[in-house]
Amino acid sequence: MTLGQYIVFITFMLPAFSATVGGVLVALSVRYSLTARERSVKCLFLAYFSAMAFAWVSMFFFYHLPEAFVYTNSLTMFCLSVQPVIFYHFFWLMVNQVPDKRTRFNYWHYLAPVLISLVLLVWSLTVPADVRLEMIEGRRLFVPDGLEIYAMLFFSKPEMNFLFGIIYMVMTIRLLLRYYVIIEGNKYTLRKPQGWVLLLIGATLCVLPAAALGSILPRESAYASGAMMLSVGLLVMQHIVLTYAVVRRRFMLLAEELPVPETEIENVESIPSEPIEAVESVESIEPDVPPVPTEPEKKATSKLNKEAFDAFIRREKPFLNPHYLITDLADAFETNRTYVSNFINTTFGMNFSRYMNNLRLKELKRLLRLRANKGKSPTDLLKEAGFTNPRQYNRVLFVEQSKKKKKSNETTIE
Amino acid sequence: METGYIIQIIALSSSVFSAGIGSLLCFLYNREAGDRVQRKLSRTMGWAFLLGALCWVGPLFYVLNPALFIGFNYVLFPVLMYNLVLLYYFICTLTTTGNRERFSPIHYLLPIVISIIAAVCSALVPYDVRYELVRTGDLFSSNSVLSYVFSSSTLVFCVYNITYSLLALRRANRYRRAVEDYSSDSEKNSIAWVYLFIILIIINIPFPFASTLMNRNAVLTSPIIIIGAALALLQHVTIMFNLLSENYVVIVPKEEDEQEIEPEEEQEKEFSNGETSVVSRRAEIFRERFERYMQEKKPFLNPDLKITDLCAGLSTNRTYISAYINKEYGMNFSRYINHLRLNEASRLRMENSGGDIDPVEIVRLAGFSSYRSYKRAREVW
Repeated sequence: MTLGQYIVFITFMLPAFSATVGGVLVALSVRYSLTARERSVKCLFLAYFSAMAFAWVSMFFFYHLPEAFVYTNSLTMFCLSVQPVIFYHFFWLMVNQVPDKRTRFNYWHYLAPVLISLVLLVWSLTVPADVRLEMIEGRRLFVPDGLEIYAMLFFSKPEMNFLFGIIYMVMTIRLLLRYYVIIEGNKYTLRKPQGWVLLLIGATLCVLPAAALGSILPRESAYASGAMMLSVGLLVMQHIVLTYAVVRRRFMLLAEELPVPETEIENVESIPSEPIEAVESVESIEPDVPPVPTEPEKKATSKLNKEAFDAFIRREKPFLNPHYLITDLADAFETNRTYVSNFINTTFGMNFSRYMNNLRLKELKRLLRLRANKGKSPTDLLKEAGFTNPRQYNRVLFVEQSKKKKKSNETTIE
Repeated sequence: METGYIIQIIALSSSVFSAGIGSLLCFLYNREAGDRVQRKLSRTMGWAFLLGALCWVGPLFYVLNPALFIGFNYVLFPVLMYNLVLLYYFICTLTTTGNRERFSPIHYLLPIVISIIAAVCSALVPYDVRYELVRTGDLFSSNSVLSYVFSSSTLVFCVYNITYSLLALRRANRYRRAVEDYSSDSEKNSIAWVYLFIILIIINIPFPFASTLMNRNAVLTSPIIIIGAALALLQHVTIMFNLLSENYVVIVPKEEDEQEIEPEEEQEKEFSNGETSVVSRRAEIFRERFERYMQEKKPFLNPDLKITDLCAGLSTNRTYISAYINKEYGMNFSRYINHLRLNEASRLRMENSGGDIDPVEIVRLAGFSSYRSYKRAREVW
């Protein structure tokens, strides 16, 4: 085998290699997911890479091991038609973060690929294997009598891939455009998609015509053509970019890292939720409130009531300090930790850490609403609100949302 | 084409391309890696992967076409050796134990010498003889020493592989002892993956070793080759994943000024016989400061706390803190910090008697990076 022959030979295996490596890496990283959402995104990618790897190995069989292809054909049909749907599903998950517009993914999208491949599978079972083998070896030219429609379905994988690819690409682009409109609409400061997303969409669009190539040109010449090599190269690039994005948690930046926190703090109404004006009014009140730490000790404990406490939180904003501890709070009121802890638990119905984090969420919400902060890096805003890092923020948001969900479930049951 | 031949080519190609993809991922990561060490690690690994891919191109060409292999043989020698040298350099960077050390230039010079010798010897063998050697795969058909040298790449690989794996193992062992006194994140401290990686390097030996003794074509067509390719894939993926998800702790080299303080401690020990009261009072003061600091600032709440993070707060150096914890509590830094975290976790659980927070959250609030590292810490205690 010369080098040229080898390159033609291995072309179809390249996407299978890159998808396998990507799949194994993603599978390893599933364990390290921080949120349930992240886990579901990763599982989605695992499915995508597996489908890709299988489809391309099977295409390789088509040319070099027809005996094996006879059995893999129906599953290949499924893999090829399902992967645009998975791709769309992923973008849907990323974009479906805008509050008030959150919906459930419509799983009916997966129906069409399943149906088509089931039909092919059942039909194939009625046709003898050696007839199918003959069909494959005759490429598209040999069609047994009475099986014209079956032969059409049998060879329709590139067309199916192209069809599904186009439909779901249009839907993906529409999804992203709508998302752009929403974030441009000034209402939310969500992070815009980054360069790699556009790169991904571009590469996927470029790969699409290659699927059609097989049905337009005679197969043998399409197989060795430069266009095919180019699209295979693009596909490999797409896999590498996706793998990198998943393992480095890049997809989180798109929306997950900074949805506007929708958690309402049920018991802490007195904290200013409105921007600047509220803050200013608080500052004007400030002289009336005597500085607590200078109070004598005995009075201080009695002073630890809701008004004084809220005033202190409003004035000092201790939650802005990520390392603020309950002992600091106890020092400020010149009392002990147990007392403060009990006070917060009974007054607000949550413990110190959750209380602080709720205040931080509220603060972040306020910061996000400010015009002046538009376009600032979300990570900076998080830190400004008192979170140590995006990870902590994600965790807090996750806990709060799951609480809220639990609560609403309980009320519906009642 | 025979099925066996197809499988053989695909197995060899898969290793070539998985290493190539690894190289691309490393260079992608290199572009945005945060600090100097990360950049250095990813750059080293990027090149190592590239050379690793070329290593597998050798047997691939051998199978494809003897003429291709004869041309490639000149490149194969340096590629095989430098691949292992770079892997060792990577492990060295990863497992520095704090002392500033230089990577000896002999690691780079020796491969050059060996590959020049190999190249000269190969060029002296007539082309026809070399072609026959590769085509039949029979190493012992001709008795000239030169032709042995021509086909000695696998032997060189075996020798290098064993030497560098042992060196790497020594480094890893030393690191494992040092890191417990440095970082408290038990999940990242566990360098299980470094050991796995070294083992995977060693496991690769039988395949090239067999081909130094037996007919090469017989080795290349046997099922061993699929196992070899699978192991290579595993090795590539292990390192890619752990590098990209930053699953490691690199010990920062000690500052120069730290070295100067150490003699002072020596003096303290000398004094301890005569003026016990002064020394013990000083130790008492430090203990008080240390315990107050630990209680008030709770540095252990930070999941990736390192011993150097304590230096500023206690205004001393890390050697002293490490020695203090060892002497005072009879355990290393990592274990001590995890002990405090366990206490904190049980305290949080007591406070949270209403069951507001789920157990995983409590563990994280107490400073563990994950539930797994909590479980690991609890097992130790």
